[in-house]
Amino acid sequence: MATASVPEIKTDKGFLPRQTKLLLGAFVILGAIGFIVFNALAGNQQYFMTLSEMKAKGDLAYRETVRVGGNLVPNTTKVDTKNVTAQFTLTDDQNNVLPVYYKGILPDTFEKSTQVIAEGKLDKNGVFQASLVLAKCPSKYDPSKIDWYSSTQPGNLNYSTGQ
Amino acid sequence: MRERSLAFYVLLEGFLMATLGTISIFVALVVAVYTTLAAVIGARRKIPELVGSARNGILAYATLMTVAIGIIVLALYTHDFSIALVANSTSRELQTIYTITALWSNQAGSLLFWSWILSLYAAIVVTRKWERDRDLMPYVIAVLMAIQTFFAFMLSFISSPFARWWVVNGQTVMALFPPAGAQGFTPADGQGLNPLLQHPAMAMHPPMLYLGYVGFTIPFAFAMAALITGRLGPAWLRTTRRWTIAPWLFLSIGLMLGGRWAYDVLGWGGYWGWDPVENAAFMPWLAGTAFLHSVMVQERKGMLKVWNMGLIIITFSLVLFGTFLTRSGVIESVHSFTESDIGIWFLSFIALVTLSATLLLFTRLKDLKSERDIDSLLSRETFFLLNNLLFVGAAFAILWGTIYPLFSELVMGNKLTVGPPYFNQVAAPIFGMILLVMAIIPLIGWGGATGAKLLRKLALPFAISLALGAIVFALGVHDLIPWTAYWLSIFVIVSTVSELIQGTLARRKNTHEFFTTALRGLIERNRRRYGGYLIHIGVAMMAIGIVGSQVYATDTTRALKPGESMDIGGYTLKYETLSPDFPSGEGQITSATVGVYQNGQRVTTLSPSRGFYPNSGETATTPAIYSTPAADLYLIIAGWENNFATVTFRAYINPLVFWLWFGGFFMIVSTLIAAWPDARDTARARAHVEGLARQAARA
Repeated sequence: MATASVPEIKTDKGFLPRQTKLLLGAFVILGAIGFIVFNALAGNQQYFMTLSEMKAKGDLAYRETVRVGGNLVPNTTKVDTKNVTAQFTLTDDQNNVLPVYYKGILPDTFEKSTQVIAEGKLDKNGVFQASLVLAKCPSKYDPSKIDWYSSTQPGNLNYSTGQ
Repeated sequence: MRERSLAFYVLLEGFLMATLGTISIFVALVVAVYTTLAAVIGARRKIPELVGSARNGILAYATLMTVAIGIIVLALYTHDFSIALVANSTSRELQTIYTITALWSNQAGSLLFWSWILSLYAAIVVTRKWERDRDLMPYVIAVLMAIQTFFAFMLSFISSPFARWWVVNGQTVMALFPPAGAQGFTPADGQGLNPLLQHPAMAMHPPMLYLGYVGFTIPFAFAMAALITGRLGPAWLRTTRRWTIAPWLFLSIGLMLGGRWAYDVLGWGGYWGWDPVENAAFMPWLAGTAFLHSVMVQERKGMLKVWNMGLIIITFSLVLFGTFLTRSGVIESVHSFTESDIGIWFLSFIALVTLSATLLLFTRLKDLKSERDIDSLLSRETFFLLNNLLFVGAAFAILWGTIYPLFSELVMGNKLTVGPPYFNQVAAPIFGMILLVMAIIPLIGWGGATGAKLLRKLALPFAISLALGAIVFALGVHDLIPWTAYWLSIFVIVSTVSELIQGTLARRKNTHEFFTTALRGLIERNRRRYGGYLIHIGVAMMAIGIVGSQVYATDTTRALKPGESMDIGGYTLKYETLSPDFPSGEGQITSATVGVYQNGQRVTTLSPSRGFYPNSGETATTPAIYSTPAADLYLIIAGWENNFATVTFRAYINPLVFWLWFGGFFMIVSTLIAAWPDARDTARARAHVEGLARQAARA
């Protein structure tokens, strides 16, 4: 390698050995990264909860931004294309309901999704003002949940393997 | 009648093929176990025939996996819906290219793909450089095939690609072998592929990611072989370095393509969302990058030996962890297309691999002593160490944010999540520091420099970058953090370019060549070093693109009737026509035609579109993009009303995002320059092999 031939210069004249300085330096860097992580975590963590957990937490969702996951109630989705807003209702297996208002474009997978995650705050009318909406559609991509048999069309080739 | 018998034939053939595929995988499992044992016993008892047999075992495994994957691809291509994998992820209407790429859209297919790629890598390892690393090879084989045993086991018993649907008491179940009283069942048509995955990038992005991910197994295997044999000299390190740069390159390409896919498909104007699945690919890249740098310190100075071993173990563990994250669905992710129960198997495997590798490392600690102490704090070694701390620190900060929901639920009982703000807040200072190190490192020599000399070398690049920083300020960047990020990126480019110019001028003094010829000569003389510098320039360009598009993006949303227009970022967008419901593949595409005007001149026409996929009832938004080096105009259809009477458009201006893609491309080309085997390296390797041969002849 054509590195410039820098003469070896011993500059170890401080009161600490070089290795110790190096270790100290490394600790300072790691400490700084640790501090950055801790600081960012403190300022940005949000509760992620179900509807009933949100209910149990009382007024928490009025005070701070939370993430809430629930099942989309069919036929409650209303999209105002002109103002780019959307409303829908979430529910869970304990029959809690949560109306959600979202200013933004719903994700492409939303219309067929059953599970929805919304991030935001409750307003004083009990409407969840979402700043972010994520949609999951397990029904489609979890094949075990597909009712293949009843969806068969006439003329299907059923065959047994003889085993 | 004839048609019926033909259909019967196709079915019978499909059945035979699936059986052959299943058998291939079962035999592969046996081969994997045998090869692992043969390699270990052959090496310990010094039986060359047994080691040779293990080598053939690697080739046999690769052949068996190729047969299995070939059969699956054929089944996908011929729409053999008797195989559940085919029925679950494709349909008759799906375009041919996506019927093949559907292979890695599901769990069993992607596990098979993983194992197949590793088998090919392993075959290359044992056929190409057998002589050079013959002492390490038996254990390399053993480690690789122990890992393959896990995958072959999963493919045989937990997640078989040849499983089919069965009907028992009116219920459908997916299994390889028929449950009692079950009847085989073949749907008439498949479920189709997730529309989001029907994109050209999806044909390239996952294979590249897998080539990267899986490729990191090879350096891991060499590292483990070196630890087991105690042959911790320079040989394993050289081989390992070579085998790290290739997967690193593939992973870089995979990450870039993934970003591009998100930008082109997800329709929110972004390319990176700090999603767990994205992080899963990014973390091994960070650890691998750290290794590629610190390995140079070990090669030159014989230092950081334990650290380098640790990095290889960390990188490979992160690869396995990433595969687990992507496949298990344990953490909420918008990208996790599969949720499954293979998580516990993977977690046990990761624990086993990481623990045994770490234990092995501890048993060899005394052989991994540094050959010398650091000479000077102001040296390239120190800066490499700093770079390593930052890269590994970044990887752990990202890991922490990614697993935080799991951790908080287990430890505090509340599920807490962190989103992009956490990651941005963490990444900005760490990557800023990395840029600073990148700016200084080309100007600082191995062994050490005096502060005065370094300052002299830094003065000019520093002054130029400050002058350019002043221009950036004048152009309107008045906030401290974005300005600092721009300035640091510029500083990296200026100082690296100045190092290239100085090297070229020095060369020209002797050769009297043209400047460009001298520059080429300089890079060719030392591809690894100057290729590395070029990579840095690419990264700095990407940083500029990231800052511009993350900090200064704007958007506007308007509902328009045909003939109406909207303004954004100096452009006027005129909505002209709409062509609804045009059939294409599995979907029906509705696209709009929008004229783009700047200063009254028509500059381009954009056609954003929205696809509707009746199979799944889903929609997919496709943006139209007008890209210039200054900014991208990014336009999507947000929706429509009253039977297409008004269409709502959302337009984004993404400043400088062009430089992200161009910088990424530049980085990848530069990696090729750096990694291309140069003549001296090849000659050295040949001499080494010949030396070994002479030794063997004497013995």
